[in-house]
Amino acid sequence: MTYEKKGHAIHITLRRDFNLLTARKVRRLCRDVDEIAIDLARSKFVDTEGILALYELIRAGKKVRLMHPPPIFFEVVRILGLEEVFRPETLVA
Amino acid sequence: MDIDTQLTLKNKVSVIGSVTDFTYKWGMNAGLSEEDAVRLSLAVDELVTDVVLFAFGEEEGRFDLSYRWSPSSVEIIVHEFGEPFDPERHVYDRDRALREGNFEGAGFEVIRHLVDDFIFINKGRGGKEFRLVKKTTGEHIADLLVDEKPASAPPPARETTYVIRTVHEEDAEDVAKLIYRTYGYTYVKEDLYFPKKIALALEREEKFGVITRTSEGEAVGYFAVLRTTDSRIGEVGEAVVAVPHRHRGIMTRMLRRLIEMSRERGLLGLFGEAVTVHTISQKANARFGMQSTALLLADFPTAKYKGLTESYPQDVSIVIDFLPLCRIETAGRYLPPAYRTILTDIYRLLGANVHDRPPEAPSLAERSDLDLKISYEYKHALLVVRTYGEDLTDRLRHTLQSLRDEGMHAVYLDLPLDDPVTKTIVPDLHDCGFVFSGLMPLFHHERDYLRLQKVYERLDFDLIHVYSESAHRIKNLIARELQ
Repeated sequence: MTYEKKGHAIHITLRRDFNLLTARKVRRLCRDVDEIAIDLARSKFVDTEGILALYELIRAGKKVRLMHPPPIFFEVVRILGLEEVFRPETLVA
Repeated sequence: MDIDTQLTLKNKVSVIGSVTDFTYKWGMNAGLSEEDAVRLSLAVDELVTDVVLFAFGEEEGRFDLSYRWSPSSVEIIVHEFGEPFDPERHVYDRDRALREGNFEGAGFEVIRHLVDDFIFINKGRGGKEFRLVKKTTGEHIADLLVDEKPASAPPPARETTYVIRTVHEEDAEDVAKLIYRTYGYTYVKEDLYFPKKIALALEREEKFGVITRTSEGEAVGYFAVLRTTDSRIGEVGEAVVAVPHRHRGIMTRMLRRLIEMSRERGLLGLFGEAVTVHTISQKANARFGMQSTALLLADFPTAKYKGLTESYPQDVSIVIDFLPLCRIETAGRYLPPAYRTILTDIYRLLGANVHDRPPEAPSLAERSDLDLKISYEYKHALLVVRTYGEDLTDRLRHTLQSLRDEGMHAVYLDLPLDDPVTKTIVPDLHDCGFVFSGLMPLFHHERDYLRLQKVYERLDFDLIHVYSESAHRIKNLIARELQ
């Protein structure tokens, strides 16, 4: 994972899947920022731990943008019935 | 479906990424599409995450993953000895998730949607097992022959010559076409309609066989041996001759070549599974010198048998016919008294004068080692005793309950006949509801097994048609035990 912080914004580039370990790191990195961009081009999937981390960030009022989310991301969102939280038009950069 | 790969992992968060990456690659190599390999690896990620976080509490623990492959599906088994767990008590609730940010049960909810079968087996003191199954997909041969219907071709000229040679991956499409043109959609082994699955099975040496072509190159016959067990025996499981080319000795010539090939590959025996809806297949097996050694009740639901022209009102039972390719070892076997006579007679049909050894004081391990194979489509399960332990009946009762809950129609239990415990354990297994099934010669790791069975379906024995005298005796014994 690489990241770049500018003021209250952070840009994170994942090098692997968005799983439990990644979710823990993302939570730590995003504590003191308001705008979060995550590039998922190299992630095959975002698991439910990843989705929970994103959910918590959004619920905390942070602006979250995803770049290149894998196709299965929105399939998992549908399975969990979370479409109203994870809307492609507002989430995907 | 035999074990392809086995991993033992520590309950550390750091293993999750490695195991999901491995699963993805393994799935791709097993013939899954990229999308399905991702789905499978995500399902494994969810399950392994759950085990790592919750199965062992604060303790350090280890758990196993077994990867199993067949042409039609892949199966991943996660086995652990962690804390007791009831999946029914961890149900995902969308409203709770949205309201409280509580995602409990979300992982299992996702898994259920991503795989074709997801089951949980409580094995009592034998730990817990989660099984994930993903079916492989591929292009059905009918989609490649859109304008063609199965039809009868004119008979070939009498002087037509045939070439029989080893079948290779490049022949896969011709084999699928031959099956489709000969049987339409009614051939029971559905994998044979998918060229990709045929090619993959040949490539992975899960089967070998021969193809017969006319001098013009038309494929008119195919016969294969499948390596479906964990032993050096093969199943004569796929055979077809195009209708216009029948009664020309092609099947017999192909079988002769298959027996040669089986010997060259070091196989010790061949077996066939013949349905008892009629006796046609059993008669064919008998003509090839096979002997009936077992009757498996309710082997698969009738809906899976597409060769029927009229309805068959119960699950289909099958006869195991066996052809030894070596001299069957006649060293001592521990024959349970209840089955001593019939097992001795079956051995004799296979050319072996078995020596029944006297009882010995049993030596039991603390834990039994049981292998469980589940045929999800056929709704049966096979338990193989590797080692007898003090917990055997406890393990069996828990496992049987889980299998019943998962909708299995029959459970088969294989007991090693070279283990003295087999001689004395049968009454306890009768108490668990098992009855005789037969002898499974050389069926696991080149050892002979006594097969018992427990059936959850009601069967009308008059509808189970067997051919050989041996099969009749086996059927009569089972009928008596079930009364």
